Amino acid sequence: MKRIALMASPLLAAFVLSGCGGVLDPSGSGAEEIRGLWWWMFWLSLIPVVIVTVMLAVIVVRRRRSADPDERVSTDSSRRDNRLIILGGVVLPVVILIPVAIVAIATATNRPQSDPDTLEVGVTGHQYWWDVTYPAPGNQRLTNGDTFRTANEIHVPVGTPVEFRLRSEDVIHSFWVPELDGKMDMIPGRTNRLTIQANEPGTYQGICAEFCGLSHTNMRFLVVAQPEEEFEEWREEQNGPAVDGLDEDHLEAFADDCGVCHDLRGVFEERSFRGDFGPDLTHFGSRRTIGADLLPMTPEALGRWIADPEGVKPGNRMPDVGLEGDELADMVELLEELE
Amino acid sequence: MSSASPTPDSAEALDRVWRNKPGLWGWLTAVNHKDIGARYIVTGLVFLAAGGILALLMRLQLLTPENSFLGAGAYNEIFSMHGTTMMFLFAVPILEGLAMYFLPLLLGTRDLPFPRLNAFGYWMYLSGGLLVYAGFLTGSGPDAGWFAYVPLSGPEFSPGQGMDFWLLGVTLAEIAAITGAIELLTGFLTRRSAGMSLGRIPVFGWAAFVMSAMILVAFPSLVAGSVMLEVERLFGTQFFNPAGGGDPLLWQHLFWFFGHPEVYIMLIPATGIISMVVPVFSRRPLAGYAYVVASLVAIGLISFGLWVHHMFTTGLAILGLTVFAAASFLIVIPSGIQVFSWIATMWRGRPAFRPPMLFVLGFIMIFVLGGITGVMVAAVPFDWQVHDSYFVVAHFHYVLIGGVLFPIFGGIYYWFPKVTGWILNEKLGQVSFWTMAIGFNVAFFPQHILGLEGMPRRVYTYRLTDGWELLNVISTIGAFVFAVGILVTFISMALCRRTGTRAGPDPWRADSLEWLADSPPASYNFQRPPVVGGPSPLWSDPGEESSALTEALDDLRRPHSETREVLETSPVDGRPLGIAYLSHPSAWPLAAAVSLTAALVGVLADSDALVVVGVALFLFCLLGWASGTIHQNAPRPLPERPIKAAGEGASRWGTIFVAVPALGMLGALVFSYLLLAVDSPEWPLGQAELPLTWPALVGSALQAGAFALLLFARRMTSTRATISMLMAAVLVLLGVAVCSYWLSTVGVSPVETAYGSIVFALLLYLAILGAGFAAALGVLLNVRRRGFLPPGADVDSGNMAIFAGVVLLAWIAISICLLVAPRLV
Repeated sequence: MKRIALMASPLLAAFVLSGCGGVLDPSGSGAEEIRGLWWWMFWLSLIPVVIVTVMLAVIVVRRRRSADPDERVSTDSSRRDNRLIILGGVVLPVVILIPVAIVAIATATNRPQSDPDTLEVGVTGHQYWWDVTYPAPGNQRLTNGDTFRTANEIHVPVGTPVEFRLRSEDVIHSFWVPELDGKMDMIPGRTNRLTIQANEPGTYQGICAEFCGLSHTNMRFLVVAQPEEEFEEWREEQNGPAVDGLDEDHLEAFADDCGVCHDLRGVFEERSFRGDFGPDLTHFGSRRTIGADLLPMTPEALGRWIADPEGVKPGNRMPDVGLEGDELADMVELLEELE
Repeated sequence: MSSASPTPDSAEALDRVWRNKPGLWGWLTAVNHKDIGARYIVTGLVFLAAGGILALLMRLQLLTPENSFLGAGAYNEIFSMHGTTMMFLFAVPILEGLAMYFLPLLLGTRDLPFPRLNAFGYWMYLSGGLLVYAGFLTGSGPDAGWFAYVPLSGPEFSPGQGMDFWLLGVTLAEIAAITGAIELLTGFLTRRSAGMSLGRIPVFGWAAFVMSAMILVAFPSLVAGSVMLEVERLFGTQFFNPAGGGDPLLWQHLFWFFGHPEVYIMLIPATGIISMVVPVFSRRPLAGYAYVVASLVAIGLISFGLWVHHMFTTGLAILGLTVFAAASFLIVIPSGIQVFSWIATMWRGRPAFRPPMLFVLGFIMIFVLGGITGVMVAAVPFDWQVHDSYFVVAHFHYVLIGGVLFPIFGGIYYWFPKVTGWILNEKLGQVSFWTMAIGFNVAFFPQHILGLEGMPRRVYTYRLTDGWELLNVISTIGAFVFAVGILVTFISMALCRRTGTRAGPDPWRADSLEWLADSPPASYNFQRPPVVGGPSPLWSDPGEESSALTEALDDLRRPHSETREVLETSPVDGRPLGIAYLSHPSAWPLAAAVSLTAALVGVLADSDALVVVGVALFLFCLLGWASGTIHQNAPRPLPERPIKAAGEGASRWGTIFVAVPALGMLGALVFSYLLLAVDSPEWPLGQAELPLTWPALVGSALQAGAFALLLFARRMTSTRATISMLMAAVLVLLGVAVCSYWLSTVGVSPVETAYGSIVFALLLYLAILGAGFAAALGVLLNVRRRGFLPPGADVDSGNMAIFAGVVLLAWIAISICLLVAPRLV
């Protein structure tokens, strides 16, 4: 009996704990559908668990053990045996699996759908960050017209589907925002599509779900769901060039130390070393976090990150460019100004 | 059982023939199934301990958020090694080892049909395991996971040698598994006791059969994949590289075509153990024996239709996914049948809950929960959420620990007395079981919830703000409790002489033949091979013995001319066919394994000299091995024996079972070609010209000629058959020459595009297959030259005709791929 109590208590625990975040506390259409499927399967699955548990308990409690080690039970009960086997092994699974299959198919078809007017967002996985591309304001698709880049923080309008075009530049990654929808792999040489609809404004945790190397753990991102107008405002800002009035010396230092990999749109138009190997930093200061949602956007964290990228995020591709003291402080100041 | 009391002097004489040579040399040259089986089991348990320690290190790292105990690099290596160890070096080998030890005893025979192959397999497994760990311990451990997804595991993103150690070591372990499977399948079909028809074979025997058949079909896919990946790392081919037209998903298909059946390869023998234990301790035969056997076969078949259910999130078309989801649902039925067969057996039996039965109960509960979460993850949309999350980690540990480790432990408590002569201490068994059961659930149940809360797999740490700390702490505590439970059984085994009790031949009053042998069994297992009259031989009347059979079995009580003799039986009804001979201890298997390992170390050390020497030595060993055994293995007519000469059973079935993985490799390569072709915007890539047509026609014709010659040779006299074989060998070699010319004229580079890579792979495989076949013919011809000729129907040419058919199939399939498929794509 101890054993049965042991089996039951975690199930209860699951029930109690299931309210806190993640898959079971969704804010997106796809995740809401999947939560429905989960509870449907959860309750149905209690049927076989209860049946097997009760039967085993009865077997244990009856204590029909014989004193004579050589005694054997006659086996003329084979028809009754077979009836139990067919009922438990065939009928029971079929009765449970058919409704599971129906609801699973319904869940798969009730997903948010995209059409030619759906906003397209390109996300390309890199070891270990996310390159994000939007169509310029006024345009919904990536293929016709101008686009702009940002990184690691994805903004979406609330209440409408957004179609992600998922690609990878190096190894396989997987794009997962548990509260919004299921995950989709990002595979080099392919473009996968995933349509997500956020139903409530808020900031949601995204994470790479396919092991992608040393800092797989540190490859996170944020999804910011905003009302339509707010989102369009954000898109307008992000599409524009970097702010005016940046210190020329600081920009010179940036060009020398960071410009090979990082772009500041509208600043280095005339130069040959404009980089797109790393994240676009044009509006870096407007982001909530740094290093693919690794550290908060504070001067201290930024200083730590630039001074020792390998120590903060093992295996990442950003070199230590050797900035120290005032140079480092200037660089931090510049980056913070890039609203 | 009616068995006359053994006469001591003949037992002594039998033992002289069957026992190992004395000393270290005897240990190194041992080939007996009990020695080899026990080595697999002990080595498997050592790897279980190693993998377990790695798991505890991981749990310590995850104990607190942002823990710096291990760091990212060490953690990634450790989780890769944990999975690799448990899947490749613990579970499959220990289950094959149990089958090798017990299958002959269960079937009532003295050894498996190819003892030297068995020994070779063990040495390959050992050196594979050591190779993988050598990489780990010398600081270049593999860190791309046990699944080794490309491109992460490819040359660009894993430049270190860890992956090379991993690929070569794992390939050796896979080849070992294949040799074991050939052995077990052939033994199952041809080496049983008189009267043991298919319907009377114990369930564990059936489970070993299904497991081995699955290994034979599934493992070549991974061997092919591993070799392709290693070649990609060494020489820069483009199979998996999208920049060269390759496809990273190709690796996933090849891996999971092996990887999903792998789960059932472990589960099936484990449930086979359960089906042995439950009836004995319930004091009645298994309920629904036929249903259970049919379920095992059904699971074996269905499991090959599941592999894509590991790829639900890769963006494949939803319709295809639905098919694989349906197959995943379907497999619940045979699993459910087994569960209710055990319940029915206990329900109407008188179960006694000794330690083996405790593990059965724990197994059923945990397995049912693991099966249920298995159905959940097979529901495609739910998998989109929990795939690669801790929910899946929890699910497969319920299936693999509950479904495989618990039965193995139940099997250890059940069979330990047979192997050692000691019954393990009852109290320690209970303590171990309860500690393991509680620790396991505490460790793994919370991981379901962690997954639902969004914690992904394979992360070396998490953040305080994630809110995952409490459940991780609970999980770590549970893991340590679980480890203590395992340790108790290890201690109990180590101290069995002090804490256990002496066991007679049949301490459990069980029903199957292994309990007829001594504990531990004599070197020859049974002095007089038993006769079987029902599915529970020790509980029912012995079978009828004709006077001829009585005479033959009595005759087997004594050795004849220092040879190891066993009864050969017919595959379906277990009719005695004759006496077959088995090979004696030999150092060739060890020497062959060592030289092959040396060649692989040469690859790792980038030493061409070592590779050449290793390969040359390996071929020399094979030659020495082959020429020494063939006349010993060949069944001969025995006029002085009352029953007709042994048929060609073992060699015929053995040939077929070697042909299957050769075809499996072909299948994997053809699949790769077609997948690459279908997924490419243009094919052949880079406007390459198609290969020449005439070599396909000429080569296929030559090979068809060899096939026909060998088919006809079966009915010829020995001298004419020899001439036919010689001619066939010449035709095959001409075919190899044509293939080589073909390869030299394809006009594409194997390292520029995936098209070039796969064309080279197909043609090289064809050439190797042909050359290997010609070599086999050469060995046989050499043996014949020395005067060993098969009697009656020419067994050799019949067997060689099977291989010729395989090579012919390869010619046709590859020709179609190269010449017809591109025009259709």
